[in-house]
Amino acid sequence: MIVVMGPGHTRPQLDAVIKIIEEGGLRVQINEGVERIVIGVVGDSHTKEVLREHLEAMAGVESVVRILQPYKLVSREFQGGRDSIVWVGNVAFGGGRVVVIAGPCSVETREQALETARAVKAAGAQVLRGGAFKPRTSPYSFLGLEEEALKILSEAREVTGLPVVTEAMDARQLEMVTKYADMVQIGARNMQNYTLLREAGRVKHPVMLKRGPGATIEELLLAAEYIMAEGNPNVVLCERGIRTFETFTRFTLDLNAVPVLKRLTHLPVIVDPCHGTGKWELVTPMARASVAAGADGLLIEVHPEPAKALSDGPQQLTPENFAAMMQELDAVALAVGRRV
Amino acid sequence: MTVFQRATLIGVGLIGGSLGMALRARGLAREVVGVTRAEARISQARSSGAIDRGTTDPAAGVDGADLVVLAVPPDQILPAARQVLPHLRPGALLTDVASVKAGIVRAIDALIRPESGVMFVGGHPMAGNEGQGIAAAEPGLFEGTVYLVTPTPRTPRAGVDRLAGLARALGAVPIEMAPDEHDRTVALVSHLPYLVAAALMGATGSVAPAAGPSFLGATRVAGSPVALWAQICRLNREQIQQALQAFRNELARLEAAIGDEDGLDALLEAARRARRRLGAMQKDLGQG
Repeated sequence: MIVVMGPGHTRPQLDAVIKIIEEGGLRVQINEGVERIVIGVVGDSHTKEVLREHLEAMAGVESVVRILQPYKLVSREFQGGRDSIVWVGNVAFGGGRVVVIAGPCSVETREQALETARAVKAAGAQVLRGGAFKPRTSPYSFLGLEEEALKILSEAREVTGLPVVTEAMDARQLEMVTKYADMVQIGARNMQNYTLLREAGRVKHPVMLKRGPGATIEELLLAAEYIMAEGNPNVVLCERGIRTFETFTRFTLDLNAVPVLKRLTHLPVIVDPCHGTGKWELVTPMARASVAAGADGLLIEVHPEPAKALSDGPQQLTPENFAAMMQELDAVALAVGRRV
Repeated sequence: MTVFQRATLIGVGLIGGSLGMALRARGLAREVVGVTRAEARISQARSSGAIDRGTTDPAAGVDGADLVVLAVPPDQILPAARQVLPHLRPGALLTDVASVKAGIVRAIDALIRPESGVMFVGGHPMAGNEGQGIAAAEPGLFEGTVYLVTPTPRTPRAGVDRLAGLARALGAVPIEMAPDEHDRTVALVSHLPYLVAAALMGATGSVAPAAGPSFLGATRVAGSPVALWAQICRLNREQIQQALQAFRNELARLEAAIGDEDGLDALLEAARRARRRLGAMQKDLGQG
C-alpha cells in the first residue's frame, strides 16, 4: 500500500500519518518529491486494510493506493515512479549513464587480474569484476582462489581506482566478500537462496542480483524484495539468460526483461551478454542490443588469454575485443540519446 | 535521529554557521556551541542564530560535546583536530566538512586512539553559495543537497550511521564513498566546474558584458572567494588533472563533431537528456 501526501500538506499532518501506520505495527518507507510525498507501507495486509479507510480520511492525504503485485518495495510505484540510484563506490547505477562492469570470470593469478583490470579501465569500464568463489556445475572444475582472490581484487582496486564486485555463495563468504569488495554479487544459481538473500539484506553493501536461468521476472523481483525487506535498498538486477529449448547458445538472453523490468521496478537493470550467449563472438552484438533496449549497464567477462581461462573461456572477450566493443557501444548509446 | 546534547562547531563561517542555524531551527541539538578565532565573531554568530554560546578556546568549546564539527578551511582541519581530540568525551562523534578528503581523513584516523572512544567520520556537504563567512550562512543551505560521507575501514559503523542520520535530518541525502573515491568524484563535479568557469571568464575577455543568463549561470561559481578554491585545487591536484583530461577529451570530441552535423546533434542530445534527468533528480531531492 502507498499513501500519497498531496501538495500543501504540512509536516505535522505527515508525522500524524506516519505515527498511525507505525502504531499499527507496519513499516514505512518515505520518498520525497517536490510537491507530493509517497509513503510506502509494508507489513500485514489485514492491518493495512483496517487502516486504509482511516488513512484516506486524514488531513493532507491525497490518496491511498493498494499495490496489487506481490512485490512492494521493489515496485516502481513505491518509489513514486522514479528510477532509484545505486552507488557502488563513486559509480552511480541508474543515473542515466550506461555503466560497464568488466573483468575476468575467475581471478586466476595476480598478474592476470591486474593486467585485465588495467586494460578494462583504459577501455572505459567503470567497475571491476572477478570471481573468487566459483559455483561450477562439476565439483572437479576450478572452484576459485577464494580469499587470495579477494586480496588480489583489492589490490586491483588500489591500482585502478575501480570499485570491485564479486560473488558470495553463502553467509560465511558474504562476510569475507564485504571485507574486500564494494558490491556483492548473488549469482544466478543462488537467486532463490532465501537465507543468502536475507543475509545480503542485512549488509550495507550494494547487491547485484542475477536472474536464475529458470526464474520468471516476477520471481527475480521477489528475490530482490527479500533483500530490500531486510533493509538494504541498494539492489541492481542483472539479466543473464534463461533456459529454453535453444541449444546453439548457452542460454537465451531475455532482452524482453530489460524494458519489462524498467516498467515494473525502480531498480537499475543491467545485462550479462557473456553468460546469456556463452559465445564471445555474440557478446558485442547482444551488448549493443542491451544498450539499445535501455539497460543501465553491462557485465562483461574479459580475459587476457580466453583460450587458457580456467572457467568460461569461450564466452570471455580479449582486452582488444572489449575495447572494440566499447567503441561500438558508444555509437549505439548516442543513437538512443545516452552515453557509455 | 537522536538529538545531540551539545554540538560544537569549530569555525562558524558559511558552512559552520549554516549548520548551527539548521541544528537549532530543526531542534537537532539541545545546545550549539561555536568556537571562533576572534572574540568579535561570537556575538555575530549568536545574533545570526547560528550558536547558543561561543568561545575562542577549543578545549572549553568541545567540553561535554557529543557532536564536534570541524568547519574550518581544509588546511586548518588537522591542527584543529589535534587541538580538540584530547578533550573529547568517549562516544563523541567528530566530523569535518573539508572538500578534499583522502589526506585529511587518513591523518585524523591516525590521530585517534581507539581507547578514547571517539568516533571520527569524514563528511562533505555538497552545499554552498558564492558568499563567504557567517553573513552568507542560511539554515536551508543543506536542504535537497547531497552529503558525502567518507568512511575508511577503520571507521566505526555506528558513527557512519549517526552522521548519515544527521545529514538526513538536515534535509540532505547522504551518500557513502571511500575518501579517495570522494576526491575523484569532487574533482569532476565540483573542482572541474570551478576551473571551467574561471576559464570561461578568461576566454570571454572584453565581450563578457554582452553575456546573457546562460553565461552567467555557467560562470556563477567563478565569483566565489579565491583563497579557499585555490587551496582546494592544490590539495586535489592529481585528481583534478585527470578530470581536466576527461574534459579535454570531451571538448575535442565536440570540436571534431562540429563538422559532422549528425554526430554533433547526437552528442548534444545525449547531454541534454542527461542534464534534464539530473535536474529531475535534484528536484526530487527538493531543490526545485
